[in-house]
Amino acid sequence: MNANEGGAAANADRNPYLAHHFMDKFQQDDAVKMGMWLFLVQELLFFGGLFMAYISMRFYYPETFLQEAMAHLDWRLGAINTIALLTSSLTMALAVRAAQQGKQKQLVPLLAVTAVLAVVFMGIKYFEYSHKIHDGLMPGIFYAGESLSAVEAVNHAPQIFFSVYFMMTGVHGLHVLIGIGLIGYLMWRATKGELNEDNYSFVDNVGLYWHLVDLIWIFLFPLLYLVK
Amino acid sequence: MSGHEHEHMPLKTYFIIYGALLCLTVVTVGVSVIGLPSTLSIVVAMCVAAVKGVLVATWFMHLKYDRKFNVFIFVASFWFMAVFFIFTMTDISSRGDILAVTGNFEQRMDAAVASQAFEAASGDMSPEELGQMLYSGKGCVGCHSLDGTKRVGPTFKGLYGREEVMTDGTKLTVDDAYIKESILQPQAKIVEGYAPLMQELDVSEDEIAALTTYIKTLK
Repeated sequence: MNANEGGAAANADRNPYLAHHFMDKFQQDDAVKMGMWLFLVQELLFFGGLFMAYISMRFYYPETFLQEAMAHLDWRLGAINTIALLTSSLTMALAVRAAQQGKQKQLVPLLAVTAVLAVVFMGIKYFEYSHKIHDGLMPGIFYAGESLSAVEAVNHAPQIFFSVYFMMTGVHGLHVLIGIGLIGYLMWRATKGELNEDNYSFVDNVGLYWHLVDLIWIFLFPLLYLVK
Repeated sequence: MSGHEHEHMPLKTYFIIYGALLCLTVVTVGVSVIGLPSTLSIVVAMCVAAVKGVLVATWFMHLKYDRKFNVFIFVASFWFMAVFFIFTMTDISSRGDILAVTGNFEQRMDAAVASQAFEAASGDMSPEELGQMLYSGKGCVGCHSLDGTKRVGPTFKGLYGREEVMTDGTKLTVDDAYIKESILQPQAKIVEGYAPLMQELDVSEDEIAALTTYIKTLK
């Protein structure tokens, strides 16, 4: 399409969500999506560092990871959270589908269910965190669980397990919170009718982000809660 | 191509994937409850997680219908992660070996320095004094006390002429021949109640004689 021969008629046909520096909406969506994938990959590598920290610390303190995880992490809460996130992933995928097909009436409820499940996840996380903080099971120098001799602190090192636990679940939880914010924003835009078959790219990319958050939890759950 | 509107995945597929993800979650929890051996348990858990990850990425994230380049970006990140994990793991898991090697190396260096000092001083010092120098220089001091305390090895106090019971039940009296054998072949005879931990060290005949003389003085 040549900008010179476009004229007033072409501008009227132009998708209002198309930025001026793109040829058409397909090109724009493709570019945005590739940018999203690059961001997601960066997220994976970032979490990769935390997973490596987990592996190396577990290598150095195998018994600690076994004992502390079994004594202080409830796999049932972890399992409920896993189901909550998996279900929210389904509703998010269905929301993206609804947006692509222009089914406005489905979009907002599906996004709402996704957000509610995310809030359930954070609620359980809050319950778990407050319980651990109450018991003094804190990372590093903040550890105030059972009183440790200097030798135990070095050899058993529960504070290291809780450093890894809080860092991994904390950063993941932060992603869930950001996800809740993004889904809320999507809902606001959707109620204004701005997310439809001509403009679903944003829903699509928030969906990708949300699935990645789910994907990371799929690995965190067995590594932290099901250690035996 | 990227998820253009004409390429919709059937609604059924979403629910099949969701069902599979729930089933695999049950499998992960089940495997953990069965209580497989630790290593196997982690391997199974990670394999199940990987399958779940592939399901999410392929269908929920629409990689199946996405541009091949986006698939490439995604898969490439796992390649870089593998490089990161494998090299870090190789480093971490071999650090113990390096410490053992350097520890042994330092011990041998100290022993060599002690031998040089022994040769240099052999004309000027009495055999007892030379033996005492070797006792610390060759590293005996690390495991054998002079005051009767049990350390990694038996004490040198009153060692010469003492009757010792070996791990095989035999009894023997400590003499020149036994001391020599214990230095040259540390694992040949082990005193009851001790572990066979002593390493072979470079100790010459003269040095053994000096050490034996020194041990005789430790009453």
